Amino acid sequence: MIETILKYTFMQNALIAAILSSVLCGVIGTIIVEKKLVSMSGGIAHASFGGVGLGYLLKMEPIIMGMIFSVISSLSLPIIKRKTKTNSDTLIGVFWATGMALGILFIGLTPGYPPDMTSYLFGDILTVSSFYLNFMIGLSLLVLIVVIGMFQYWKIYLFDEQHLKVLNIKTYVFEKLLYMLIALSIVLLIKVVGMILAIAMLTIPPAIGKFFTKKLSILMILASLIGLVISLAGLTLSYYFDIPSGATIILLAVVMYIISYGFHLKFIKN
Amino acid sequence: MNQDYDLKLSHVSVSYGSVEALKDVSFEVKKNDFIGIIGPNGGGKSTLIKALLKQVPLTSGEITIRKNKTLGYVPQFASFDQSFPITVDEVVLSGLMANKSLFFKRYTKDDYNKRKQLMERLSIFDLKNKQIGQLSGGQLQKVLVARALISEPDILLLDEPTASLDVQVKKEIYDMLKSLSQTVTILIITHDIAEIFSYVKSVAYINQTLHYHGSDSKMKKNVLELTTGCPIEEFVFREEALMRDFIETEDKYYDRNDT
Repeated sequence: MIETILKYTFMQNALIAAILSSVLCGVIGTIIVEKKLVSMSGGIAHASFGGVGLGYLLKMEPIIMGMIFSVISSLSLPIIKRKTKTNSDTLIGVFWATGMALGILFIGLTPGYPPDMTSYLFGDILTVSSFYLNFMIGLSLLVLIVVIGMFQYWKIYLFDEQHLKVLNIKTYVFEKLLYMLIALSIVLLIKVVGMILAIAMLTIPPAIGKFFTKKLSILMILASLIGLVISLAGLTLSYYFDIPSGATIILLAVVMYIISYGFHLKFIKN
Repeated sequence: MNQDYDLKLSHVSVSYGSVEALKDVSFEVKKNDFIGIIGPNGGGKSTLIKALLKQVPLTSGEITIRKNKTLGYVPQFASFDQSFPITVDEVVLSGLMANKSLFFKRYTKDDYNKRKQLMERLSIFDLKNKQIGQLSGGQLQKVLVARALISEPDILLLDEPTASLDVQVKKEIYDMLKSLSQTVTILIITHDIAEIFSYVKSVAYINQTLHYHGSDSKMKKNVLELTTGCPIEEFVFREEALMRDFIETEDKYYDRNDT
């Protein structure tokens, strides 16, 4: 069965993309969950849609333009928040809506027949190209080097950022780096599960992992493995039943979350 | 600056927009002093600590920390997520982070030894593998003190370390701080006005401006009332015997010009 699946290049690419996105989801997702950046990540994911639309309008690679939009959003959001003293939630809402509106506007302005945006909204792992895959490999390596290399720092940053400021460690430099990695990871996940569902893949595997471990490093590894199992199972189901892969992966994740919660309540809690 | 002083505030003012949190505050903290900063809520006590830590800009004035003196800070324990997956050991060792490379940082054998000695001194070494969320309020406070002390600071700043702790645990924390004050200068913000007098060497009463600073525990009733915004009878009700001692001595009046 596996041999049959893997004889196709698009399935090989899909498998590698699933593995890489699981690693990204496990590592970056754990940081997002523990730092309570889920809403911000949602805002960034949707803001990137403006870039995707602009890519189509300018006949440039939509994902690259999406990346540029998401990185600009992630870096400017804290600056605007500080300068205007606006609530984070409000700003995230503004970025979220503006990104989507720009995306729709740019696509509307694109000459000719409008492109099919379904794969960006809901993901289509089966159409992942080698170019895209190379991007994912590069980013995964960067994320792993930055997170593992500075693991003790990130742990304290997530736990008590104020303590690092008291030690005169320039947290804003690392905060920008983190926001940039989050933005890039989200955009790369778009092809796998889509921008609407990317947040679910970043939050559900770490949320499941938290039922089983109280160690941050183990949580990251566990979340990556959970993400991988869910992705591969979802991919297999979508192949055999000819159903959308992104939605299948997410629904599987939700089912696993509910089962894990029940297991946690019955066997682990207290 | 007088060589006996570790830190000095000269006409320090801090504003948040149009709201003036601190206004023209001047005092000095002696080496190995144990100074209690008291005053009403919103009176500028926490702003004072933030100013000392350079977390807020001064509107005017100057804060001078004696050359080569370092600061340690113990926050209120409600200021971070206690459900975060981190052990006591990791929290204490993180106090050494400033002196390490952030990339592939490793603690040395000396770091671990220093951590062991300090945690034993504060009676928390047996908690080292516990998760931070499993600790009681008093244990957590001691862990935060250990984190601040591991880098061997000369001056320790504490922001309401005994808030929401029970009386016995408060006493334990104050006893520990009193013992530490033999080697470290301690500045503590507290609401435990009555209890703190048994432990501190000096007191500063701040309500936007400095109303009183002195090392004599005898102080005037009206200064206390003015600073806390609370009738003296309420304090007498809380700690009758101790407070009677404070207000008995009416003949001496200390204001900041006398100190």
